[in-house]
Amino acid sequence: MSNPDALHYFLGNRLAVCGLALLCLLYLLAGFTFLNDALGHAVVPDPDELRITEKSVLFRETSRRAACALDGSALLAEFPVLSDALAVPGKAFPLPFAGFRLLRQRLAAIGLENLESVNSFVQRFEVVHENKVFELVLFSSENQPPSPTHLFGSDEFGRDVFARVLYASRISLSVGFLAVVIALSLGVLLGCLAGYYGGFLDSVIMRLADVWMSLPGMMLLLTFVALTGANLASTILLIGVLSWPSPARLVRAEVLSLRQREFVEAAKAIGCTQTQIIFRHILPNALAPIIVQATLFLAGAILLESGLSFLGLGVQPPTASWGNMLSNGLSYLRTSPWQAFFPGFMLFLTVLSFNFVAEGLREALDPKRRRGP
Amino acid sequence: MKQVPLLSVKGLSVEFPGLPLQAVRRVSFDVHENECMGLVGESGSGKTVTALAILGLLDPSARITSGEIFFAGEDLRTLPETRRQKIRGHQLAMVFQEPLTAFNPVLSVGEQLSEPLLYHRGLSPWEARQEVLSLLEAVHMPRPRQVFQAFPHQLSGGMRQKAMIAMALSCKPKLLIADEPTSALDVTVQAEILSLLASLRRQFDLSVLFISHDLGIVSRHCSRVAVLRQGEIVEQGKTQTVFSKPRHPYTRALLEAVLR
Amino acid sequence: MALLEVRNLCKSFRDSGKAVHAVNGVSFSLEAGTALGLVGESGSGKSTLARLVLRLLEPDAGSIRFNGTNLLDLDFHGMRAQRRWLQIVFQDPFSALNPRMPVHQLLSEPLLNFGLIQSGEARAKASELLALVGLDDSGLFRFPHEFSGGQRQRLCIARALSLQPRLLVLDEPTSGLDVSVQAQLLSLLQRLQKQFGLSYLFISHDLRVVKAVCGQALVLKDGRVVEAGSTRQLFSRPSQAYTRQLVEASKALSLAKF
Repeated sequence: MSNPDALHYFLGNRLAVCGLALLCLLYLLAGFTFLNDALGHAVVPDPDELRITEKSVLFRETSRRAACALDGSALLAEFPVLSDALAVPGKAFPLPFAGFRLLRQRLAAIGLENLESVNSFVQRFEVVHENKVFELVLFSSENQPPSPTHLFGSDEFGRDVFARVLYASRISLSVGFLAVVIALSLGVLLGCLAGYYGGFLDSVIMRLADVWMSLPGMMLLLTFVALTGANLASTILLIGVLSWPSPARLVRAEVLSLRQREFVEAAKAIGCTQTQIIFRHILPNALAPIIVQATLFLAGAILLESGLSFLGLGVQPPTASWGNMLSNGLSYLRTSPWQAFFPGFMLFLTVLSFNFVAEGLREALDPKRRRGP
Repeated sequence: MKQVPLLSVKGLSVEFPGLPLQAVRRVSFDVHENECMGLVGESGSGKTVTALAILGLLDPSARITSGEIFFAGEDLRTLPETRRQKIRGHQLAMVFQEPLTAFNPVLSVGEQLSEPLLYHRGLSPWEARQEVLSLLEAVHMPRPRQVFQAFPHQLSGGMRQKAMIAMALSCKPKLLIADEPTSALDVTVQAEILSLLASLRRQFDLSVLFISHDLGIVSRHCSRVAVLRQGEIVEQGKTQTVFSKPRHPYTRALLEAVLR
Repeated sequence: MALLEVRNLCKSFRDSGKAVHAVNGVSFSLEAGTALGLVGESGSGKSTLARLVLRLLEPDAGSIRFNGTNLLDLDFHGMRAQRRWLQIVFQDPFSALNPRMPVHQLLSEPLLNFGLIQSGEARAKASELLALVGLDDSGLFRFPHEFSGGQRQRLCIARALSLQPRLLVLDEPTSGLDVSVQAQLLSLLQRLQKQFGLSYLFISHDLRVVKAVCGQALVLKDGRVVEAGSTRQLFSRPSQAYTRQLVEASKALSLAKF
């Protein structure tokens, strides 16, 4: 079984190739967000930015007469006191018919206190008609369904969901990747040493692995987060450090069987030192099952991080993470389902792709598992 | 008086998907009653595939594209599977090269040897046990009772091969197909197994289709021989003739390469 | 003085509590430029002996003098320095080659290990070695599994010869190979011996093969030397019962004379 052969087989597996293509695309897009940052958010908007577009204030008559749109920025300039109100977007100020007095009261509620200001407000913006029902809707671009300006729609603050999903992918993918790197570095090294040297070292490492595996990972994670506060770096570190026993066992098993193979004896006969034997001969051949497991573990780490963020223990808002976007979007599921749908879908697609790639790798690297010629 | 051959293979061709060349190409030969026929060839010549095709044990992906296999007058290819199963193991038996992999490691030798007796001849377990013990004695197995209880991995290579021969003989077959039965064994054990096979042939009126890459063994034990090369028979006839006056250059090259 | 002198070599293993004496007091000498055959059936200890001579396994007792030096006195680095002159070709050529290494790397590895060539010369050297064993350059970038059994064995021989050793231990190098391939490999070995003045320790269960290649031979049974002498004498006039058994069996399997 060699690399070129396995590559051909892998490329023949359509699902695996699709999964790989999708993942490459995702990583590219995630990497692209860095470029976007450098360019000052030229292509995709800042995910944290609350977008208030020009026609963002609508003062409309709910009796369905033609509404007149007000210039929000001009409004703010005139009535800076409204800035607070505008800063809490999404608030509708229904003004039921009760005459001017009530209108005044409502306007007072949003900061327009005295009559002059109200008068000038309504005069300025050609609003008031008695006996009519009006609605001052501070309508920025929040809760917009998917459209050409907002590919995935916008959330309740007017933030572009597409931008957030993209920036969130950065978090998820890096968490997955780094956690795997940590787990593998520890696991492969310890497993290799345990398998190659055997004896006391092997026993010690394997008992340690047994203990480690019995630790309740989720509880530890939650406790840790509760104690130290939610911190991305520590989450990654903890996920990685908790997971080393699995790859260690796999590597150890491979190394144990490889140790018996004659090419290892041959390596000794041609003058290789112990280190050379381990790193040049044994490790490259022991890595095949690890690759598969690592891919699956990546998917698991991403899910774990999303789960934590969903519970509010991972990445904190306003930083976007698929998990916290999901949990946020749940409250808007009826009104603006796209807020929860897209992060959830991305998560699903990512994990699925990893699974397809892992399955493809598993078949490609182990000739015995191949289905048919 | 012309005798109907026990086994008659006519124009057999087998191909595997994905491989450009056919594994077996228009192979024809006969095995008569009470004779030992040798099928000689190097690796990749198609000898094992031929044997498996005769027994109907080919991989499902393989296709027999042409040919007929007559056993005692019946065309094995057109028979229903149930009838073939009856013939296989009862009248047609096979001995494989690697006895360790041919045995089920979790069943004792006795259990496995009794299986064909219980299935094909409908004996009771006690009768089967007696029969198996007598078979083990017939193959000169040391300590037959102990061997009956033992597991395959506890026996030596030679003993396992003897057990496999005993299993093959249990239903008193007419034809035994032996696929490299001694290749994995030590020299002295090989000689023992081969002389055992010769004596069993005489004792049970057995025909043997002996498949091997070892020309020496075939020259001493087979009265007729067919030489296979890349799926085709290049030469066949009486062993004496083929080995002393080979006509095909391949046969000549093979004989030259054999160490004397 | 003999190139290789082995005195009273012993090695035992533990198999479920019982001690198995794989090699039990074996002594022999190998003269430079000759081929010594080691004949034995399975369980005779011949493969263990092959590995002991190269210290791939540590013997329990005895001495191994190679070119005057007692190999067992050497530490890891001392032994490693000696490995240049003592090489081995294993029985299973597929298992003996790292499946993930391309041929040019496999062949140049020994020389690079000992610093005898620079990494830039590696490919050229590998090419030379391939030519030596009758394989062509197209194989340089291929992997072991792309070659046939006989070709792989040639690769193993090329690798072993890259360091220009004095002694080559061959552990059943032709078992499992086709008859014609076997013949080609043996004639290659004979040619190389003449060309480089090599000494062979040739291990086999097949007397016929040993007779073709070696002038002298030993017969091993259960870890002990049963008989030693010239191969011709062992074949025609064996003095021990076991040797006679082997010779008889070998004759019973050899080509009949018509």
